[in-house]
Amino acid sequence: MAAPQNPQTPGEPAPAARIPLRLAIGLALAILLDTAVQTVWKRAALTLPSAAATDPVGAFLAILHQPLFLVVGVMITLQMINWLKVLDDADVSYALPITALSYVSVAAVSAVWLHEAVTTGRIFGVVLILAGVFLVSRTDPNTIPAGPGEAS
Amino acid sequence: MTHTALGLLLIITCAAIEGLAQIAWKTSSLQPERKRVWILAGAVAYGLEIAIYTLALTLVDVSVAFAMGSLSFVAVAVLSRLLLGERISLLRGGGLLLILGGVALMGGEA
Repeated sequence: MAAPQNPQTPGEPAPAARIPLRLAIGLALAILLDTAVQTVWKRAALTLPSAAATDPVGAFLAILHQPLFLVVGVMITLQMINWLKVLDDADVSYALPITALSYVSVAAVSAVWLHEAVTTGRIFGVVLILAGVFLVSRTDPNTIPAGPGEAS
Repeated sequence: MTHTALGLLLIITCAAIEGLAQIAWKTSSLQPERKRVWILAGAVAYGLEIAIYTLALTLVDVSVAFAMGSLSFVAVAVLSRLLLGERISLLRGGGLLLILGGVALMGGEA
């Protein structure tokens, strides 16, 4: 039996389109990888000498001896591959604001795992950023014409 | 300069570099005849950003550093306005201001 063509009542916003399973998994994986990359990266950075920022050469040598940075590199590679797959299935203006949820998951995981503070100011900061990313994503994605050879 | 201030400065530098990297990659699609050069320029910029972000993470909480990374959206918008002539609509400008406000709040909480 065919599904009703127009199930919503007048005046009600149209129901969100069903997200294809592959896209949903890709978006979830993107948020998961974002969170893992950031928190493991921070965990690895914590093992560097405290003077790392003023001694980049010493920091570079220390990075070579910390396998967690290799893990971060592998995860960033997976993240890029996954993101390109997501963009095969969705507009960047659709996908980007959803993955901005990583700001929340990174804060949550870093609070639990790395004992970082969750303050009211930080919560408001993340909320403002999420609202800003959402607004930016609602704008026209293409304000200049593509260059020669790109148009099709 | 305190450790936190240095960390925030490094994060702002990362956002600026990411803006330049994105401009380079966008230019690669606008100038197909020099596509490889622009893609390489973007990749080099990203490599630099990864190194600087690692240093920033030794100084600042990741919940703050990662959220402040959204400053790159603002950097991209400003640079693409200046260098590529992309327009910033009222809605996009409003969104960018909200991001700036959020980033300033996070910076104050670092």
